[in-house]
This record gives sequence, structure tokens and C-alpha cells, in this order.
Amino acid sequence: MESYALRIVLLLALAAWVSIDERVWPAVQISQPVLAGTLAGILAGSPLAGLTLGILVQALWPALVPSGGVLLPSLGLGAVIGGAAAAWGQALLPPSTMLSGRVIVLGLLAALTGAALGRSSEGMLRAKHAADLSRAEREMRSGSRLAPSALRRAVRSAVLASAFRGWAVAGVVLSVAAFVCRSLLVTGMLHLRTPFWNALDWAGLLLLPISLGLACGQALAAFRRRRASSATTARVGVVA
Amino acid sequence: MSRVRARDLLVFEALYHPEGQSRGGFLHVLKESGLPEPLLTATEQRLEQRAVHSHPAMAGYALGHVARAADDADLARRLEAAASQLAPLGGSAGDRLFAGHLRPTCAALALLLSALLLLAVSNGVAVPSGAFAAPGLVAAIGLACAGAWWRRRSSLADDATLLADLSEKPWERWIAALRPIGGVLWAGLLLAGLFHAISLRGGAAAACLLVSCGVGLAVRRSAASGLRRGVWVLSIALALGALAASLWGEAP
Repeated sequence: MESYALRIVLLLALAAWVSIDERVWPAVQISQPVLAGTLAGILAGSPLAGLTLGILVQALWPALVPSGGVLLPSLGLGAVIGGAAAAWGQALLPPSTMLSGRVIVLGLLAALTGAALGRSSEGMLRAKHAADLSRAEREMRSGSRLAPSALRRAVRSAVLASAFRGWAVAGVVLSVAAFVCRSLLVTGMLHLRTPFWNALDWAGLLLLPISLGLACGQALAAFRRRRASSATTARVGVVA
Repeated sequence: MSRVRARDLLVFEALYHPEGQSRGGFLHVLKESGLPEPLLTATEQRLEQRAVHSHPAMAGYALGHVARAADDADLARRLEAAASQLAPLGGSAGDRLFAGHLRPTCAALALLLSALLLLAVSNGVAVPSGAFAAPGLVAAIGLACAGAWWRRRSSLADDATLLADLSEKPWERWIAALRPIGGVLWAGLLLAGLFHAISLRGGAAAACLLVSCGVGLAVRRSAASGLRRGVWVLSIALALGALAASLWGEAP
């Protein structure tokens, strides 16, 4: 059990790191789908399935150009999620099976979902960045005691929020993928290897409520910010 | 005189948002560069409600130009040039170099190495699990090294180097060198996929995926928009069809 818990923690940590690497700190390039998918596959028990998912995601979108601030799908995050889901599925099959088309389809679906969720959560993060930056600029203008470190705090907050995004998105999608894997096992569509049954149970039961709760909290906070912003706009309109 | 540090450019896009774009990162890097407080506040006031955008690896040109400001009048002149000319130029050059050429070339290299690895596995060669990460590591290290090189070059550029780089455009030399390498790698990928598809029945689906994605992307990069989209969509449809076909070809 400890081994599975460690693997899941490492997978979520990888997702958080990839999320930071994708947009905030593009230095190490661990978010390259081939690398991210393979690392997720290694952690989840089947490097071959992870590599295949990484290849797929990388080949489908080799060169996204972030022009004009357009929101791009989170390929690295998608590759981590898809690679882990496919590797989980592959690990359920007999060791002699080379590579299952079913688990690749499952992984691809998980990857696309993760990439889309990552994209929409990036929109929420950008709203947070705007609020953080305007607060930092206000502090700088007012010359308050906190002013000297205002920008540094805003950057640190952006890095942490990005890590949280990766963790939450990966947690939610991998939990759903674990339940799908479990359903496939119940219906006999995949072979069962007992240890992973426990791992999937554990992952689903523990991670889903936590991740959903955190994601809902984040969505609620974004909704409140948007409502406060539109109320301010309305007030400004009345004054004008 | 303050100086932009290459490592501070790592978080240039941390506070990116659509209205101000990379203004937060711009101010942060200038602050970390040691720009004196009155000039930093003046920069913040002049950039208020203004969007600044550049590429993280090329932003050093614009930031270094501002960081070398001697007084308030000099700052106003340098800031205007940086925000309206140098930063957008760095942005377009960086996007073209990194997203347009470097990333696809590194992706092609990684995919080619992955295809060879899959070929080895299919032929029964025992591959340690860590070796599967090698193709991705090669691509990531290539991109990371190129990013670090340009961050260092742009952040260290003084006014004379800046002028020389603006006239010589060294990134164009990189692009000219990368173009044939990318072509050769994509062609190699197609050949590897075809060979795999012909020689191995079990790995045909994966090979079809590689081949169809490669063909689609090669056409996508060269042909006109209508045809380009059509072939790309067809290629993805082929890839998914190959995947679907593989579902019938194995025992549950």
C-alpha cells in the first residue's frame, strides 16, 4: 500500500512540476509530452505505455505558438495524466501483452480531458495573476512597508497557484480514470492483477473527494472574484 | 548601473495575463536587476495600464536596454523603445525560433528515438525502464540548453551588441540551420514508421499512428491552409482509425 501511495504522491508532484514548467518557469522543459508521459508511465508501472501516450500527444501538437495570449491546451499535463492512466491500464494486463489499444484509447481520452481542463484552469489563473499584479502595483505606488517585496510575493504566489493547478487537475482526472479502469475490470474488459485493484480503490476513494473539493473551492473563488469585478464595473458605470 | 540576470528571466511570464500581458514579469525582472527605486517607480507609473509582451528567452534585450537607464529622461526614452519595439521584436523572434522551429525539431528527434526504441522492444530487445525516458530527455535538454543560451545572450547584451543583433538577426541563422535538420528528422521518422509497419504485425497500429501523424504534420507545415487542414484532419482520422482497428486485434 505504501508503495502505491508513494507512486500516487510522486505522480501528483510530477503533475505540479509540469504545470509550473509549462507556463511559469519554462526552463527545464520537463513539460515536453514525450518526457512527461514517459516519466508518468515509469511512476505508474508501464514506461512503454507512458512513452506511447507521450508520443501521441507530442505528435498531435508538436508546435503550439502562444501568440496573442491565446489559451493553449496543457499538453504536458495531459501527457502526465494520459501516460499514468494508460500505464495503470497496461499494468492490469498480463505481462506478456505488448501494448493494448484499449489502454491507449483510455489514456488518450484522459490526456485530452486533462489538457482541456488544464487550459480552462489556466484562464482562472490568469484572472488571479491580474488581481495579484494590480495589488502589488498598488502597494508599490502607495510606498507601503510591504512594497519592496510585493512583486516577489506575487511571483511566488503565481508559482504556487500553478503547482496547485497541476496537482488538482491531475488528481481529478486520474481519479476518474481509476474508476473507469475499475469498471473495465468489473465488466471483464481488462485482466485483473490483484495489487492494482487495491491501488485503484485507494486512489479513487481518497483522491476524488479531496481533489473535487479543492477544485470546487478554486472555482468558487474565481466565481467570487469575477462577481466582485463585475460589481466594480457596474459601480464605475453608475458614477460615470 | 543595474544589470539583468539571466536566471530572473525564468519567471518573466509568471504573472502573465491578457490585459497587461508580461508587464508583471517585466517589472519583477527590472526590480531584481537592481534598478534604483525612483526609476523603478517611474517605470511602473509609465507602464500603468499598458501591455508589454516578449519571449522569456529574448526579453533580456528589452529589459537590459531599460536597466541601463541613467536618469529619468533617459529612462523615458529607453522605456518607450523597449516596450513598443524591442519587446515585441523579441516576442516574435522568440516565438518563431522556439515554437516554430526548435520545438518541432526537438519533437521530431524525440519521436524518432522513441520509434527506434519501440522497434527494439518489438524485436524482443530487453530495454531497462529508465531508457524509455531517453528520447524525451534529449528533446527537453535540447530545448532547455537553447533557452538558457538565448537568455544569457539577451541579458548580457549591451547597447552595441543590441544594435549588432538587431541588424544581423542571429536567430535567423539558427532558423536556417534548423529547417533542414527538422526535414531530415521528419523523413527519418516516416521511414522508421513505415519499416515498423511492414515488418511487424503486432506494432502496426503504433506505426500507423507515427506515419499518419508525420505525414499530416509535414503537409501541415508546407501546404496552403485549406489543404493543410484537410490532410491534417485526415491524418488524425487515420491515426484514430488505426487505434480503433487495434482494439479488434488483441485478446481482452
